[in-house]
Amino acid sequence: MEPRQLHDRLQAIFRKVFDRDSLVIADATSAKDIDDWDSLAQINLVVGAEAEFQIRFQTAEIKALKNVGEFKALIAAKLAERGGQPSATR
Amino acid sequence: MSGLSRARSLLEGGDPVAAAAELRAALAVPLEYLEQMNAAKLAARLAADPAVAPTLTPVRLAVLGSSTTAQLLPLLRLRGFQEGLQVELYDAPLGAYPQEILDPASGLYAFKPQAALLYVNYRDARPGPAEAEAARWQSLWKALKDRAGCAVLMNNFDAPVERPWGNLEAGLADRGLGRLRRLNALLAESAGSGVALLDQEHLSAVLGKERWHDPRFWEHSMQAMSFEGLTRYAAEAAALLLAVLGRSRKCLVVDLDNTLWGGVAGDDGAAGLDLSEGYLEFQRYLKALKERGVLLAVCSKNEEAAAREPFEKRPEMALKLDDFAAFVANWEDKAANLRAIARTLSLTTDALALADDNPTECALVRRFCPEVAVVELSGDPAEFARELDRRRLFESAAVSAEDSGRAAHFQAESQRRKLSEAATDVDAFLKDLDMRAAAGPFEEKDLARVVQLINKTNQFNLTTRRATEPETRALMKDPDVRTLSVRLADRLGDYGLVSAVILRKRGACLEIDTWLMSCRVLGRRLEWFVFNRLLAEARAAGAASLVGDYLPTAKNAPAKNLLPSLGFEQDKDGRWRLELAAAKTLEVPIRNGTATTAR
Repeated sequence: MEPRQLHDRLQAIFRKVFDRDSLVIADATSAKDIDDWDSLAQINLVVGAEAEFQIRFQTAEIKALKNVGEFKALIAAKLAERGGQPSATR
Repeated sequence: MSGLSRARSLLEGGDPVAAAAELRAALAVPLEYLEQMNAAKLAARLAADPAVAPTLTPVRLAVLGSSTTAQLLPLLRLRGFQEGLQVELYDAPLGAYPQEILDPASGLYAFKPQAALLYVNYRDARPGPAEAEAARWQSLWKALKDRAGCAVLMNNFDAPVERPWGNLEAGLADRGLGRLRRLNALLAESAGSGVALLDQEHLSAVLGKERWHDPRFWEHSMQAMSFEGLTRYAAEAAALLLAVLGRSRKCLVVDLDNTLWGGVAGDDGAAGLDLSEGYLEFQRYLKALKERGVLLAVCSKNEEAAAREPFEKRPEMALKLDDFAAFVANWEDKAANLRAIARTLSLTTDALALADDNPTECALVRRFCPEVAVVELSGDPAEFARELDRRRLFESAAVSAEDSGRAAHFQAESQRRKLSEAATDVDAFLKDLDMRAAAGPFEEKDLARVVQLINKTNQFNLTTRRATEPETRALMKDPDVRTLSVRLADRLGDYGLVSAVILRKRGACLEIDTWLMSCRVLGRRLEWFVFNRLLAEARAAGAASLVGDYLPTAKNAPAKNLLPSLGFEQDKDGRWRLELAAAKTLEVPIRNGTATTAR
């Protein structure tokens, strides 16, 4: 998946989770940049990304996510791991 | 644009009432969790709007959770909003439900809830025998009911995926799956009377256990189940809340063409309609709803005769005309017809749900009767039953007399059997039935039923004399003939007209030409009640005696001992005779009363 495409799809998830259609994210965007980014939002982002990309995060990864850049890298790694093929995540 | 976005634009455009209607329409179809969370934010804004707030009914719900409630609470408010409730919530401290319930000074009681939801999961079931654990929950229910006087909602336990004992677990009484299943059964048996049990175990099975339980989120933030599971839980809890508030839907109005069958009755004719398995399954589902007490009604754009024809000419139809409490087929608009149906059934329109395949009709009803729950059937008829069932519109908190409904004969019958088992003393049993009977001369309006009884009754029939309708009508006009038709009802149901007698005056005798009774009501002492009436008739006719015959047939043995058991004696001609001077009325467990409507 192209980095740009991944970015746009993740941004769409952020917009959905924070319920703001004009939200723009950057790699450095973290919880301190978005008011509502609390633990509840964190878990919503994870659930949204899992559904969108058909991947599954580990508990430690969920806890460790600090900013958009890390989030993207993790998603890209998981997509690469399965060779870009759709996988059964359950 | 999604329904949710449209609702948001309408609100921002200054039309909160239309926004609320749009949001409710959007909630009628399955929405994923994140969309529901956003819908919940919108619902909260709408619920606070001065134009919408007065249309909502406030209700105070306490949530006693043993896991995180942060996502559950907005979802509960959302589902309440969908059904016209303004849900005020008390969020008890996490895991503190025993203290909250047992301490009369707790925040729970200060909140004065109308309903309390025990939001628990399998981790809350303490080890040990299921009986002891069930008793612990029952005592919590009791304390809650006694102290708060509120309705109690609690879910049963959602068995986990993992089974350390493997397949053996199903058979274990004191641990694992076997124990949990037993505990769930015990809780289900003891619920009712103020406690409504939410079948979380079923919900988890419907979704699939591996999708329901997400151990990662339990570790991360004590989420008892996946969010996908949680949305289903919230919808189910809201349906039960409505049920305990008495706001579940009471009547389902269905369309006909492309809903109960494929095709258009007016064009294709009864013979040309598609009654494939999908439509029949849907009909069977509706029939099951009707049997548990949900009223069914038809509202169809059709000529009345064309709409009825498939019911009359297609025997494979699972639904019959008499399954419907109202049948409206015309070319009026559906909103007006729904109001008329509600009036006919003495309901308000907010007790109605409509299932219809036509998006335009659905939209019209949402617009003009927003209080009606609209189930827009789409796509595959094989999935209609599931689409309707998913809405949880007819939830009830407990099986009750009203729930079994006026036409719920099946249920009444099984209850009657249960009573019969419990009451070993027949007199007490019959008395407990609270039977009411009414007897009077045949009337024109009952003639069809009387003639049917005369020509069909084989068992409890003294003489098995048949008569046509004109012959029976002639008897009604004959000055020497007296007739009696008898209706019976009890507290479990109405049997309608079940017995008929024809008497003929011959000199000083009143002769029993015909005496028959439907075998559905054998063993109720209704024949004694009728006997008392015979004595009265004989006296009124100035007769000195009653005389009757038993004419044996292959089938009428049940009537053989009727006359001797009532004190009749056989005379030299072999006829049964009773002198009125010596006759006494019998004590019967049946009141004189208007047995309500005929069946």
